[in-house]
Amino acid sequence: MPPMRHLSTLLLLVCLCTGAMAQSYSIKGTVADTLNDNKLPNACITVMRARDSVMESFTRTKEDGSFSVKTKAKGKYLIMATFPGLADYVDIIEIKDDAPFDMGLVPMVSKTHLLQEFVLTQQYAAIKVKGDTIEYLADSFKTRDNATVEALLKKLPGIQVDKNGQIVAQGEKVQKVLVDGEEFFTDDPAVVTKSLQAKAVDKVQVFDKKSEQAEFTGIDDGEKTRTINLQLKDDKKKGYFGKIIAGGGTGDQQSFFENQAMFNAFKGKRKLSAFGIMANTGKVGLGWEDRDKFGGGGGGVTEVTDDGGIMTYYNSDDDDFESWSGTYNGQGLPRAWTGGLHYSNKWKQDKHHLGGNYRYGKQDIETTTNTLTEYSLPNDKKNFNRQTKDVYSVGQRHRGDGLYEWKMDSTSTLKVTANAGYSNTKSTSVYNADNRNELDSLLSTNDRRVTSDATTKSINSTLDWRKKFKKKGRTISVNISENYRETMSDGLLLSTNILYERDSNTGSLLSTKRDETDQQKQNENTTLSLSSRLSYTEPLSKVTFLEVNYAFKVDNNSSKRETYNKKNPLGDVYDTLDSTFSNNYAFNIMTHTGGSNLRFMFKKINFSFGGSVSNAAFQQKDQMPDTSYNYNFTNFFPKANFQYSISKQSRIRFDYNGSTRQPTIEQIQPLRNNLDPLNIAIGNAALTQEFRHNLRLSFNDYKMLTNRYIWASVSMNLIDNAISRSENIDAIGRRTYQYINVDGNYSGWGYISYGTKIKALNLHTGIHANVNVNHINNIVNGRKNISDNNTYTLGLDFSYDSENEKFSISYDPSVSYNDNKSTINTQTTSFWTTEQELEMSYELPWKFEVGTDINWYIREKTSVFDRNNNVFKWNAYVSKKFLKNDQLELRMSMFDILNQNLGFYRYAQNNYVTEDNYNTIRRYGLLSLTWNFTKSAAGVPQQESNIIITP
Amino acid sequence: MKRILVTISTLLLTISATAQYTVQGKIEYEKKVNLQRIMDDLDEEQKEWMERFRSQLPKFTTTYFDLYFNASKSLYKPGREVEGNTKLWFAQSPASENIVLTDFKTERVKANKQVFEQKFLVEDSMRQIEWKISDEIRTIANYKCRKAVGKILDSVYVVAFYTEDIMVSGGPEMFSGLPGMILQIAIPRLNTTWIATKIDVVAPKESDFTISDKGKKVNQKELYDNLRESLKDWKKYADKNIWWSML
Repeated sequence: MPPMRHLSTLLLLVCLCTGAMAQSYSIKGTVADTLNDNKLPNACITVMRARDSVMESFTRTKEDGSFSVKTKAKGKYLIMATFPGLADYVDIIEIKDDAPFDMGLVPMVSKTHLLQEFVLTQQYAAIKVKGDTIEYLADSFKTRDNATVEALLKKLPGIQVDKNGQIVAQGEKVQKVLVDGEEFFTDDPAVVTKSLQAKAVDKVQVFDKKSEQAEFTGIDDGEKTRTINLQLKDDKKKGYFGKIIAGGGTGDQQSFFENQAMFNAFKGKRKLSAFGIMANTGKVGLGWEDRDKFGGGGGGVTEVTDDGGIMTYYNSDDDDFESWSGTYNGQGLPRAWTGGLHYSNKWKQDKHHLGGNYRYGKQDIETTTNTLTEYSLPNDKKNFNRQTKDVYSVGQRHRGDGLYEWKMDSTSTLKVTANAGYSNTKSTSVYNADNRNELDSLLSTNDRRVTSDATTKSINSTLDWRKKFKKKGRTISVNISENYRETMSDGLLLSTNILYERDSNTGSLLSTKRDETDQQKQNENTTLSLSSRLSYTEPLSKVTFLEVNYAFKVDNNSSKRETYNKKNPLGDVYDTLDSTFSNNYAFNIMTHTGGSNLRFMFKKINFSFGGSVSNAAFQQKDQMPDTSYNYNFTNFFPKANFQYSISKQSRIRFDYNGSTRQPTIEQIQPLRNNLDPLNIAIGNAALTQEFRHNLRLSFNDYKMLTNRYIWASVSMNLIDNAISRSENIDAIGRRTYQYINVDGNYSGWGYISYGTKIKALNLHTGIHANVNVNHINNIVNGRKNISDNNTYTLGLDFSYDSENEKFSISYDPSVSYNDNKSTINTQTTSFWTTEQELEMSYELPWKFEVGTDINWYIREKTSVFDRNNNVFKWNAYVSKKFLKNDQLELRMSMFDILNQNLGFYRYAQNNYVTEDNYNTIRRYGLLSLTWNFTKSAAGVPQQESNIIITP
Repeated sequence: MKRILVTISTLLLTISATAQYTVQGKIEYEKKVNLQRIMDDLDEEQKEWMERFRSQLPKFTTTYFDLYFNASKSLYKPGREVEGNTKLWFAQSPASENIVLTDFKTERVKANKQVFEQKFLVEDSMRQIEWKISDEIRTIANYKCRKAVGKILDSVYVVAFYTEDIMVSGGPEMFSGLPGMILQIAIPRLNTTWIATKIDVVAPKESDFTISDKGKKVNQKELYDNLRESLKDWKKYADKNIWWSML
């Protein structure tokens, strides 16, 4: 007996212990269908905290309908019992002590469907009844400024809002609030009505939403939810933003200025923007960052591609006034004035889209270029050409464009665009050149002054129609376009050539010949082309797609060049037509192109092959001596590509493109020209087409979590029957050239880069290598020559950002080796160049920021190119931000502190190497003030502005 | 007449009282990501760029998932392929092809998650969510569902519709713990919904519950810490990618 007692004491202790560890309270009862007196098994019992309806626990009833469920704390609970087909049972209980709470019998009854119909007692003009929907026009009910939707709803007859934000419409609780038909606009309907501004709402619609199933099947299952939909106004978002930058300073060459103003006002889908820029610091237009905001996209076309990428392409044909980055990339000192206006609007759920742009640009450029060219000739002979070129040009441009896009229905779109442009460029160029041989004996000199006043007018338009069919992948598109361009120029050519004839053995001067030209040149070119293209895609299976296309194009060109001499050399009237250098041609080209492409799309592998054939009938008509030539070309364009997605971040791709290239008319039948008397072209009627093969293989692999990437690409161009040159350089350095067909030409490049992040140092590092090869066959003074011009580059990059983002630094050094050989000459020209870039910025207290960047170029001299081209370009700035949101910024910057900047370009091709030195912007200091302003009256609550980015 | 009605209704009630609950089967979920809403989340200036191709985008990207379940476990995995589904680079999210095995007996979950280049094998106990039950009812795939709202990762709201008529406390991804099967999930901040479109009441085979043991072993907390650290440089773009990976 005693041991038994011990045991029971022990058991009791164990029970107490467990009870103390996790205190719990139980609720029990039995669920029954009272009507039929059935005990209900598997009924669901859910226990919720009474104060916030948070679920505490749940259970299912046993076979006999009994249940027992636990809670963690005392207090008030909602007990919900549910059973299919029976009305839900909800009761509130309070657990006050440790004893199990017995609910006894939980009675459940069958559901009674009570259809609540409401009667509209009052009719307001502002209220419409559309079928089952009651619609209120929000603006008809006055609310205070900044009133919320809740305040608006309170004003609407038939709608009540209680203090908890619960809405009752026509006597029934509203369970859903949609915004523009969207259910999960935010997490909580009360949030919508409290945060959304009443002004943003166009209509309030009250209706009973059918269940999703009923909407899907069309069969009404009687399940309805009283719902309010807030239809937002189209102009819910309205406001403006912009910036003004004023900057001025002084430098060694001139005083500098950089002023910019840009503004964008938007109201819903309507957008109006304007900008103006005037600067002589190299800023010539909106950069890509500002172009979307203020320039209406700059005419670029953005498309979603088949594989889900987004591609933007710019038609750069007539955009010589603006570069992608918005900075001047050319030579010399530019002064630019640019301005633009943009308007666009969309309406009827974006079905209609209208847009227009106007641009004005003016640029003055002063350029001085010194060029030295080294020609390799047979028998270790050389030829050196030194030239100085001074150009001053003033260009002005106007351009207007318009776009209308109409989404006719969900499957078809019509798009019409038109643009017109006018530009005028006046320029004066002065050339001084001399030509010497390897013994430094003067062979010839040339002094030339060319003036030109050229005006171009253009009108282009396109019409695009696309339709997608019900069958996925079946599409048809029609494109019609028109291009017209007219260029007229008028200019003078004043040139003096002195030729020094030397004995080919002794080099002694035999005679000099002087030759002067004083002529007026008037040129007129017009081009009108009309083209149309039809393309159709058809899915042959789930993974196979066939595309066929046909295009037809007609070009009508006329080219008139007239040269006039003075009858009286001392007068200033050019009154005699010089027929040698005058001509008048008409070209007509008619091209038919047909193509087809077969594409296979699998989950990981994607490949396609196909091609097109085009036939061009070319007619050249000489209007002065009335003769005409006819040519007929057939071009082939085979292509193939293969892509394998190894994983989402890793893919390999191979592309092949083949194309025939026809000789140009200039190559077959050159027009006589005396602009450059030391370079004379001879036609070759036997010249035939060349065929180019382009092969490209690329691989990329990016690891997002470790920040490691590998990109590699190789491209090869093989040219069969390449159009190359045969040159003859005579003893006085005069070049006569003719185009010929040769075999064995190729060019190629390779690129590989690898980067990773060193986590411990928070340092991104990378290494990259490039190779460029060019292998060209040509003929020099009757001898076959093979030139190899190769470049090899190796670079590193490092970048570091401090944890708090206040300090950042990057350093990118690279080194290149350039190697040029020609078989006609034993000498080679090889040189090293290095480039190092260092950038740093640091945010100081009181919103001060300092930054600096250095570009250090070291370029090896050669025996011929012995000028010092090393540059240490050092820029620095200090800035301070003011006002709320850093709206105002004062910045003092210094460009090229050591005054070393230099324009430099050295390149090699065939048997010659050229080096250009040109003037460019050098040291200046600039003080500038930037004001960013923004005002937005958005009615929609601000959401997180996060997007998911994967490459 | 009245008597007949009473008889019929009694008959119906008797049937329903003894009606079998669903305890096993296969659910097909349709997952929809609202692309247009992703763009609404952008700030005004980014939107200027997006506006240029907005009209070319579909409203949603749709994918399908299957959930096999019985009383003791469930397996969630990618389902049928959608033909010609545009895979937009900016709408792609990590961990969008998860396989999740939930064991209701041991209260453990195991998941294969491909987060960018890294394959994770997540092993953890079933997620505890504080669900707020509401009285909103809707019918999904012929099941009466009740709404519950919960929160994960401290700030991401989850709206769930569950049915008590399926006696398994499971759901898509790692969502579970309600007094019945979750037939719809909406995550407003990810502009995404999962909704059951088809339910087959057939016993799943044991082979339907297979899951690979490959991948870097982590629990949910370790996965979170790992991604926080790895995506440190992504600044504000990190959050959504982490949320996607933690579902």
